[in-house]
Amino acid sequence: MRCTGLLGAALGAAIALFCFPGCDKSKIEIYRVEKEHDSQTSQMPGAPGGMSGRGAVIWQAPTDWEEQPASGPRRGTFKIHGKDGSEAELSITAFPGDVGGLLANVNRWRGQIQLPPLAQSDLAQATTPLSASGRAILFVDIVSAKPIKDGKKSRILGGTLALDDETWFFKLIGPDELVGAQKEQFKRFLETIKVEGTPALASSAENTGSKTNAPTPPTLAPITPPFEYKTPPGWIPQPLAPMRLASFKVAGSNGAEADISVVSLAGIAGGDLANINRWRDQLKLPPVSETELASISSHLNARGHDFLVTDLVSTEPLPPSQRKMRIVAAASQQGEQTWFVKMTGDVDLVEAQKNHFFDFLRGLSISDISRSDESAAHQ
Amino acid sequence: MKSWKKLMPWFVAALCFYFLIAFSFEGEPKAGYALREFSRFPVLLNGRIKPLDTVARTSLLILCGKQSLRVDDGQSLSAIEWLTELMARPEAADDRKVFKITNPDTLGALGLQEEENKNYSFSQFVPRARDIERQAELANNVEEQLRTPFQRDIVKLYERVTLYFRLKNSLQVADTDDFQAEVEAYGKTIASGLAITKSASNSGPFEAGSDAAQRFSFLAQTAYFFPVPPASQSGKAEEWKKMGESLIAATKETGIAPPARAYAAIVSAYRKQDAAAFNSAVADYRAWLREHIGKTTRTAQLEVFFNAFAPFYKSMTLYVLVFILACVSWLVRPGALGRYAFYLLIFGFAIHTTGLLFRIYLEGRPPVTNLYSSAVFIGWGAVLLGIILERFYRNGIGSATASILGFLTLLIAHHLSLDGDTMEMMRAVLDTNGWLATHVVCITLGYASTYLAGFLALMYIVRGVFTSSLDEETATSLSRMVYGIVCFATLFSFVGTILGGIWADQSWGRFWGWDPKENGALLIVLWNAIILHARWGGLVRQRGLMVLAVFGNIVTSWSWFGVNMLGIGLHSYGFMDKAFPWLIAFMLTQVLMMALAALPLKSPLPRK
Amino acid sequence: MVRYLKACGRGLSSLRLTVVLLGLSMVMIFFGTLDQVHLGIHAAQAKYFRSLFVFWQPAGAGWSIPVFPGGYLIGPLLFMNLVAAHGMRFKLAAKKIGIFLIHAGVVVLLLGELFTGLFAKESMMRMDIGTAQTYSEAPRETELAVIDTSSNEDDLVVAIPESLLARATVIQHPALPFTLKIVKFMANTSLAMRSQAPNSPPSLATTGIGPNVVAKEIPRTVKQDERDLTTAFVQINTVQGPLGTWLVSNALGAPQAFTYDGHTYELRMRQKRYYKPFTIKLLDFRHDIYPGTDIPKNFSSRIRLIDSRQKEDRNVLIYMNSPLRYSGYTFYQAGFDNSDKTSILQVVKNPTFLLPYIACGLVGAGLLTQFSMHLVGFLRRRRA
Repeated sequence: MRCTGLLGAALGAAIALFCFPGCDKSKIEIYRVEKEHDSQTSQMPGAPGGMSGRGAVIWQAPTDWEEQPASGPRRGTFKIHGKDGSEAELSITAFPGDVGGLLANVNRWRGQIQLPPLAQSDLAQATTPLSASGRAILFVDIVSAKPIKDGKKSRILGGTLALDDETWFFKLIGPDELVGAQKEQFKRFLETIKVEGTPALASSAENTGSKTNAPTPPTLAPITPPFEYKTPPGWIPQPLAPMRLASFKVAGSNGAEADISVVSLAGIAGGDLANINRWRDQLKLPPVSETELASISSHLNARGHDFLVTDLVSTEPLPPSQRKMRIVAAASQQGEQTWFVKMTGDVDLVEAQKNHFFDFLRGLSISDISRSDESAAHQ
Repeated sequence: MKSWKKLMPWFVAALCFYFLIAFSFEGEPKAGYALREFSRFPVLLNGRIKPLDTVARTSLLILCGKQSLRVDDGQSLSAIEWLTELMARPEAADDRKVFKITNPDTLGALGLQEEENKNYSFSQFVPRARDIERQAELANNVEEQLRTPFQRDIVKLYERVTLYFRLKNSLQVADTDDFQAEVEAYGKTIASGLAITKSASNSGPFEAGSDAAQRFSFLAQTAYFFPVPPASQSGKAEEWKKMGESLIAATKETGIAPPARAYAAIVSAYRKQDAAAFNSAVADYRAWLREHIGKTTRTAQLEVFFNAFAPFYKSMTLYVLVFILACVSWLVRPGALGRYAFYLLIFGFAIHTTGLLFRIYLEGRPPVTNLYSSAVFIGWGAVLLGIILERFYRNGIGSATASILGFLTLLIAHHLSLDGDTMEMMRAVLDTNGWLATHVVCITLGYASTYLAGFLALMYIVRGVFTSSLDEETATSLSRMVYGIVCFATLFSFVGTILGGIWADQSWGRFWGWDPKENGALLIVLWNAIILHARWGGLVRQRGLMVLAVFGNIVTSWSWFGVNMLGIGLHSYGFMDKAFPWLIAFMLTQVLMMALAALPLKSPLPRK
Repeated sequence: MVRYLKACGRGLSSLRLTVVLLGLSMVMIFFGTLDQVHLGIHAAQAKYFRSLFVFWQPAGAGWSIPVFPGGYLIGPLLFMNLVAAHGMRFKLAAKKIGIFLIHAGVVVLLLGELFTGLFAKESMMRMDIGTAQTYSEAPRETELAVIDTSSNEDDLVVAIPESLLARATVIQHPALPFTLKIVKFMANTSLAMRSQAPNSPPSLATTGIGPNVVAKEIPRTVKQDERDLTTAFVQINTVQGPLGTWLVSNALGAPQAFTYDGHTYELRMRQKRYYKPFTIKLLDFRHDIYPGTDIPKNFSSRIRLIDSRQKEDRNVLIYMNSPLRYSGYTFYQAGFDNSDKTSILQVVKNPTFLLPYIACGLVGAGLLTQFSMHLVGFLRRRRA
C-alpha cells in the first residue's frame, strides 16, 4: 500500500508539472509609468539606422524654404514655392547601410524622372563632390528628357552623405525652372551640413591610433595599391618594396637608371616645404625658405588632384653612380593621406622621362582612397 | 646472464637520462652567432610576454606547419635563425620556401606549379599579390561557415602572407641597408638638431628627420610584435612599444630607448654578417634586460628552455615505446617486460607532468585553457588513471591502454598547436581561474576517464576476438577496470557539468542554456549513467559492458570535438574542417569495433 | 485494481525504463543540438527540450505529427521512474545513502530546470552612458503599447503581447475607448521605403507613416545576434467608426500618435518591457583589451542604483562574473555597443536559482560517498 501511495504522489506531481507549461503568458498588461524625458532610451537596439539617433546630422536651410513637420522616416521636409505657384519639395531621409551604392541611388532618382539608368563608367561625370565640414557630399543634378508633370520637365538636385552605417539623402524635386533657379542655394545648403557627436573620421582615428594597434590588420596595403594607374612605355614594374605602393625602373643608355616610386602616407607628412627640402637634401642641395618655395615648384592638376611639382638637379655628381642626379617629384594631399610620386635618377634620363612622368600623374586615379581609408579604419 | 639482468635497469636508466638532457648538448643554431641568447629576449605579442624563440616557432608553425625549416642542402634551419634572417636580411629570407600550400585549387588560382614539398617562397607570391588579395577579398564576403575549402585556404594564405610581411617589417623597414646608422642619425637629429631644423621650417620637430619619421610610422603600423619593454619591472603590459612607436616617441621623451637602439644594432650587425658586433650587441641588451626587467627576462628564458625541452614530444615517444613493450610482454616474458613498460610509463608521465607544470607556471592559469591544453590534459588524466590501474592489476593492460591514449591525445594536441601560440589570452568571460580550475578540470577528467574506459574495452575486444590471450582472469579484471573507470567518469563529468552550470549562472544568469557544448557534456553524463544502470539492472554482462564503454568513445569525441564543428554556441572554437573527416573515421572504427564484439571470442569464457 | 497498479508500478520503477528513458533523452538532446544549426538555439529549445513531443512537419505540409518524446515528457517520466524506484525497491539503508543522495540531487536538478522554464524571466537593459532607465526589455518578444499621454504626470500604458497580436483579430480592453483590429501580423519583416520599392502592392495602412513603408514578411531569424522586426497593421475602431489603419513595427523608432475623445494616444510596437520599481543609471562603461590584441580582458559598467522605496542610492560596479543581485533581480554584464558608449546588461529574475546549487551539493556528496564506498570495498577485497 505504501508503494501505491508513493506512486500516486509521483503521478500527481508529474501531472501537476505537466499542467504548468500551459500557463497563459498572453495577457494584456496595464500600468502607469513616468513620462519619458529622454527619447534616446526608447531607441531600439539595431533598429534600422535611419531611425536611430546617433551622431545627429544638422543643416541650415535658407529662410525662404518652408519647413514642414517631419513625418515618419523623413528627417526633414522643405517646400519651395515658385512665383507661378509651382512647388518643389526637398526631402531629407536616412537609411542604414549604403542602400545599394551610389550608382543605384543615382539611378533610382533618374528613374523617378523617367531617365534611363547610367553605367558605372558614367557615374563620375554625373556627380560632383562637395565638401561639408570635412565630409564629402556627392551632388547630382538631373533633368528629365520630357515633360513629366503639368507639362513641365522635372529636375532633381540631390546630395548623398555616407556615414559609418547609414546614408543620408537630400533630394530636391520639382519643375525644372524652379529647381534650376535653386541650384546654387541648394549647393550652399548641402555645404552647411554637419555631423555632430563623434564624426566618423575621429572615431576611426581612435581605432587606428598606433597605441591600440589591433593585432590583425591585413597590412597588405603596401602590396596592393588602392589606386589605378597606367604604366608608361619603358617603365619596368619592380617588386614591391615596403611603403611603396608602386615602383618602377627605367633604364637609359650607358647604364643610367631612374627609379620611380609612389608612396602614400597618413597625415600631411611634414608639409610642402619640408618635403621639398627633404628631396633637396637627397641631392645635397641647401634647403630653401618658404618664400623661395613658389619659385621652384609649380602646380599640376590631374583628374581633380592638385599636385605640387618640383624639379631638382644636383650641382655635383653624387654616389653611387657618380653622375649628376635629378629628382622630379609631385605631392598631393588627398583627404587624410598625402601621396608622393617621385622619379630619381640620372639627370639626362630623368629629363627624357619627364613627359612620361607627367602622363603617369595624369593617368593616376586615386578615387577610391576613401574606401581604403575606411578599411584601414576597421582594422 | 645474471649480471646482465642486474645491469639492465641501470642501462635503461642511463638511456632515459640521456633522452632527457640530450637537447642541451646542441650547439648554437648558427655558428659564431649568439642566436640562442637572442632568442630569449622577451617581446609582447597577442597580449602575452614571450621570448622571440616562441614568436619564431609559432610563426613558422603557422606558415609551414613545422618548427624548423628544411633547406635545399638537406640541412635544417632553426626557427630563430629563420626569423632573424627574415628581420635582418629579408632579401635572403624571401627565397626560403616557407609557405606550405597543399590545396590544388589555390595553386591553380595563383598559377603556381605544384612543387615537390608543396613549399613556396615569398618571392613567388610577389607578382601574384593582387590575385591573393582579390581572391581573399571575394572569400571574405562569404560567411565563415559557408566557405568552400578553397576559400578557406586562400583566406588562410592571405593571413599567412600578411603575417610574413609584418614579421619582416617588425624591427626595421625591410629595405633598410644600415638601420643602426639610420637610428643613430635620427638620434643625433632629435638630440642636437631640433633648433637647426626648426629654423628651416615651422611645423614641428619632425621635419629634418621627416623621412625617418615616415619610415618609423610605417614600422609602427606594420610591425607584428612589441619588442621595446617599459624601463622597469613595474611597467604594465600596455607600455610595451613597437619599434616604430618607440622611435617616434623618442622625440617626446629622453631620446631613443636603449632597447630600440640595441635591436637596431642587432639587426644591422646580422645584416652585415658581423658576428662579433652581433654578439656584443646581444650581450649589451641582455645586460640591460637583466638590470631593468629581470623577472620578465627570466620567465622568457624559462619558456625558451621549455620550448627546447619539448616535454610533450618526449613523452609521446615514450608512450609509443611503452605500448610496444606492454604488447610484447603479453606474448613473451610478461613479468620483466611488463615492469619495464610500467617504469617507462611512469617516466613518460613524469615528463608529461613537468610539461603541464611549465605551462601552468608560464601562463599563470590552471592546466586547461583551450582546446590544445584540453588534449594535453586528457592524455595526462588517462595516463594517471592507467598507472593506478596497472599498480593494482600488474597485467600490462593499464600500461598499454594509458600509453596509447597518452600518445593519441598528444598527437591531437600537436595538430592543434599548428594554429600558433598555444598559450593565448583568455576572453573576458572565461577569465576566472577558480572556475577554470574546477569546472574545466572536472569535465576534462571526465573525458579522460570515459576514453580510458572505452579503450580498456577496445583492449578486451581486440584481445578476445583476434587473439587467444584473453583468459578468464584477464577478462574479469578488465571488466572490473571498466566498471570502476566508468564510475569515476560519471563522478567527474556529472560534477563538472553541474559546476559548469553554476559558472554559467554566475556569469550570465542561466544555469542551463542547452548550448551545444553543455549538451555534449550532458550526453557523456547520461551515457555513463546508462552504462551503470544497465549493469546494475543486469541488462548487460561483461561483453555488453564493453560494447557500451566503446560507444562512450563516440559520445566523448562528439562532445569534445563534434560540437565545435557545429560552429554555433558560446563555446565554439571555430570551424575545424581538417579534423572533421578524422572524427568521422574515428567514430566509424568505434562502431566497427562494437560490431566485432559480437563475434565469438577466440578463447570462450565460461558463462558465469 | 491494486494489482493492476502494482504491475504498473513495477514497470514504472524498473531499471530497464531508466535506461530506455536516458537513451531517449540522449537521442533527443543530440538531435536538439544538431537542429540548432537550422533553428537557432531558442527555437530548438522550444521544439525539443521544452515540449511534450518533437513534431515533424514535412516540407510544405500543413500538418505535423509527433515523432519523438520531448523534454517535458521525458523529464517527468524520469522523475516518476526515480520516485517509484525509491518508493518500491530501495530501503533506507546506510549502504544506499550515496545512491539516495545522488538521486535526490537529480530530482532537484529536474525540478530546477522545470521551474526555471516556468518562472525565470530574462531581459536586457541597454543604456547609453549617462542615461537612466527603469525597465528592461525582452530580447525576443515584442508588444504593442497603446499609451495614453494626455495626463501631465504620467502615461497610461496598455501593453498587448505579441502572442496575442498573432492570435487575436479584435482586441478590446477596458482602459481603451476603442478596439484594435489586427489586420495583419508578421513576426519578422524587412522594411523598405515605398520610394525604394515602387512596384510593391499598396499598403494596408491608411494613416501614419504606414503608406510610405513596404513591409515584406520573412522567416523568423535563427541567429542569436539578430532580432526579429515584428510588424503589424492595426485598425483603430471607435463607436463613430474606424480612425484608420496604422503600420506598427519595432523597426520604427518614433511612435505614431492620434487623438480621440480628447486623449492623445501613442502606438508603439516595441520589445516587451518589464518595469522595475527602481532606477538604474549607467555612469560609465569600460572595455579593456589585452595589449596588442583585440581580445577583451574585461567589461565593466559602473551604475547608480536608485530605489526610492528602500531609500537606496548607491553606486555599483558590475563586471564579468560579478553581477549585481538586487530585489530578486540579477544584473549581469552582457555586452556593449556603439563603440563602447552603450552597455548591455542582462537582467534575470529566477526565484529558483538556488536549486542547482543544492542539487550540486547533493549529487557531489552522493557520488563521493558512493564511489568511496566502492573504492574502500575494492581495496579491502584486494588486501584480503
